[in-house]
Amino acid sequence: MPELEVKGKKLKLDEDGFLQDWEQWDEDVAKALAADTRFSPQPITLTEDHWKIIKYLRDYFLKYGVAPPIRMLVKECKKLVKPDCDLQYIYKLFPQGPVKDACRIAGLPKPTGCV
Amino acid sequence: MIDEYRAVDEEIPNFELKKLFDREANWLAVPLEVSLKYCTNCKTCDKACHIYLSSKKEIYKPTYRAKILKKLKKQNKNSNLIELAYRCNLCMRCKLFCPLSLENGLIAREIRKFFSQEFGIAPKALHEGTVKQLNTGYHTGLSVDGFKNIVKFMEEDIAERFGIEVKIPVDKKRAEILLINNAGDFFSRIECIESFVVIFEKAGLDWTLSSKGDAVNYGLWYDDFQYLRIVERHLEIARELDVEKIVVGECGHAHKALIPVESEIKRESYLPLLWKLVKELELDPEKNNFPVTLHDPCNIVRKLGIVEPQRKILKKVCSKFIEMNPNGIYNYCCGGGGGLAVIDSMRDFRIKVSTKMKFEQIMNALKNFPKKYVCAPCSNCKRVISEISEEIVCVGVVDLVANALIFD
Repeated sequence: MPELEVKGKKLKLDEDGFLQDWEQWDEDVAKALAADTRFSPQPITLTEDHWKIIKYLRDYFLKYGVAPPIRMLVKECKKLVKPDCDLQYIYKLFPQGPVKDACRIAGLPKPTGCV
Repeated sequence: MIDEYRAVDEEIPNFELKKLFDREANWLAVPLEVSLKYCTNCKTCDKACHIYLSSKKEIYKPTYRAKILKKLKKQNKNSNLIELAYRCNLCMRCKLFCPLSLENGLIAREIRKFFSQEFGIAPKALHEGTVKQLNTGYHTGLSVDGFKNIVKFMEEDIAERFGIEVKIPVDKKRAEILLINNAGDFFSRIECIESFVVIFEKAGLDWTLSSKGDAVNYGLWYDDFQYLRIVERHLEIARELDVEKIVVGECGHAHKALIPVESEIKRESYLPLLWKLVKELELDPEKNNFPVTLHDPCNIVRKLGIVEPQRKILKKVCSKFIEMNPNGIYNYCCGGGGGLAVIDSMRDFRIKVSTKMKFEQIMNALKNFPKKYVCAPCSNCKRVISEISEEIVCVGVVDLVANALIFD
């Protein structure tokens, strides 16, 4: 299984680059996950808008144990990021989308099943 | 290695297949044996299989799998057998075309079962989904709190989308209908659940959702024990709420998986019910004035014979409904059947092999239109069909009905 090195520590990832232990996550880990090109075609530089989405996903996950529904995320982003934020804009920030990039960088376990 | 794909990542030990054919140990030993013994190797089923048709690979022929299994009854070693069993969508189109109606698809399913029950070997996604469902009620790991939060969100969202105030019934005792859905819809396709809510409320049904679990039963694809554990779980939910019947929403395999609950409680597909409602509701087909074609999920159509209600509904709520060919019980699988849709490591197999026939069908049916609207009344099918091409927009039957509703 792949590993990610952050500040001298080796963190375990799954085959799609999701952190195996969500408790190991912090902002430095997020930056390292975003910069990792093994699981994303190009490195992602995290801007203020990225962080708003990452923090929302993180808080939701800590409260409910899963990622929020996509539609809920988009609506929430209208409040958090900008009023005209839509799924396309989320894809602009996270090119592989809310699951493969946003959830991964936020350190959430990979959403599995019929999703 | 039979090909470049892998459905399971475990080491395969030596095995003896005796148990699989033992009538005491396997309740499906008889149909399995019949399917192997009476096969005349006429190869009609090969020509019915979309996986073989789109790849022309010898090893993907239904008859090849049968041949290997027959051989192994005597030899007892082969590490590719389980992988072969995961190159099949369990769509049963082979059975439909077989002159003796033998179940070649059952052979793939029984091989999967053998490895899971004997050695605990199965694709991670199927097993983990099952374990999560047995623990939390939802195969996605959703919690009761999470579910209730989503319900609240749906009420607000419905008010915004449809301009109506609704209170979604959750865990209502002694309701006439318990509607169960695929938990995947509570993540990726929440609009689908909202459509159910809007239609059921508009029709004034006595119904409820349950916070205790979803409709999925991955056991159907790989393990009898897991299958029955989840059936029991579904029964518990229905018993606790004391409902009159269970109605299965837009999830194909759940339609089939729920059959055993019939011994204790009524269960039905949402499609005949929806057709009944559509006849009574006020609808405007011009609200769906785009060309749309219909995909037939194997479990709903070929295995359970529910063919007409969805067509009658679409003719009533869409102004430009176009059939794809072949359709009805002769349909091709979306390419994600039998669990292949949820096994991440099989993504390339889906894209390069198993979805090809479906893609061609869609493109042929809607070749003159830039946007390909496909109505697919199954959560899995929707997911796989949307994955094929960016031109394709997948919707459910309920979404089209909800969109056509007229509100005063």
